[in-house]
Amino acid sequence: MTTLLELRGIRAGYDGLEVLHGIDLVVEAGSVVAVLGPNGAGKTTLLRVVSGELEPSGGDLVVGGRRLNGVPAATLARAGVCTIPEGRGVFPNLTVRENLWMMTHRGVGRSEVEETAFAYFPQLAARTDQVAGTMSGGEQQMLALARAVVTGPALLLLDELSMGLAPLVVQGLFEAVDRLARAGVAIVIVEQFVDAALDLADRAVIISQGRVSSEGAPAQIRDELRAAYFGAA
Amino acid sequence: MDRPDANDPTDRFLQDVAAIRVKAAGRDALLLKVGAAMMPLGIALTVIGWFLSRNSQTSLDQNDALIVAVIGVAVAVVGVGLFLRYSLAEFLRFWLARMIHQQDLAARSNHPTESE
Repeated sequence: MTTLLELRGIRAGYDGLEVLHGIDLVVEAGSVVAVLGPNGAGKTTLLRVVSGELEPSGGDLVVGGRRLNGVPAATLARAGVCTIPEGRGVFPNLTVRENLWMMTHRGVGRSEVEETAFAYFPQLAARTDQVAGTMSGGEQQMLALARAVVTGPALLLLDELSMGLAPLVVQGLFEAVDRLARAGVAIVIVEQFVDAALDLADRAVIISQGRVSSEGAPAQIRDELRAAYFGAA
Repeated sequence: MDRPDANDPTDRFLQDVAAIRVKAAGRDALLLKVGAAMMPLGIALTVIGWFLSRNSQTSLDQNDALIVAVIGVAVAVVGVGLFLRYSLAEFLRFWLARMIHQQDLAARSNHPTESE
């Protein structure tokens, strides 16, 4: 399997305050890696480093076999690294159609973008002229995923996909993410809905206080979390 | 969970990544400083050119001083361009991000989440 992403000893932080203290992570093509951990552990910071938003202060960000520390996020996005940030990241004052049109930066035409998006999410086809800010949280998240899908990403970074959403809506979104994973997209998912993330993932990583505290198969991580919270059986 | 190998998107991704040009570390910050330094240097050259011309009696020497002054103006103009280019870029990125964030907050305050 081709390694798409490798983090080697990544250190990063804000204004001199180090948040990540040497993170190692490998993501292979077509795999799903769940990044779990408590609030403030550094999960979002990790995604910001991978997306190019935040330059690491130490370590190597290796993408597609190349060290790409300091490469702008826009450059990585054009190459195929797609991020859905915490809070959807859609443009609330634009319509559904206009939000999709914003994703033609990889050379895909508007009609092709709409066709791809509505094939994945037929519900959006009935709302093309609705302003995104007036949609429910679940519909906005669906639009955010559609925007990611139409760019044909190779690596998709999802930050708290389920935040603020009802369980039934979350289930629908995770089914869509599973379809993407089956299509061969490598996915790094940061989640607090642990069970849903572990059901989807091929591997899981627990980050605590800026360090990887555990890594392994979902079943192993599930057992470790259960033991940590409820005591060993 | 078995999934097929991702050849097409992966191959395209690897090709696009291979084509990325990686700038030297801190290039943008360095060019900003170079631009900032070139502005007063250009002005200084212009003033030096004026003094050289003022203290000269021959037109040949004055022509040389004129050229020094023109070079000084050119250096100052290039410095202004570099400084504006690399200082405004960062400011504009921040301004755009803040505008999007404020719009997102306004939209969320008008529309409660489903779980509330």
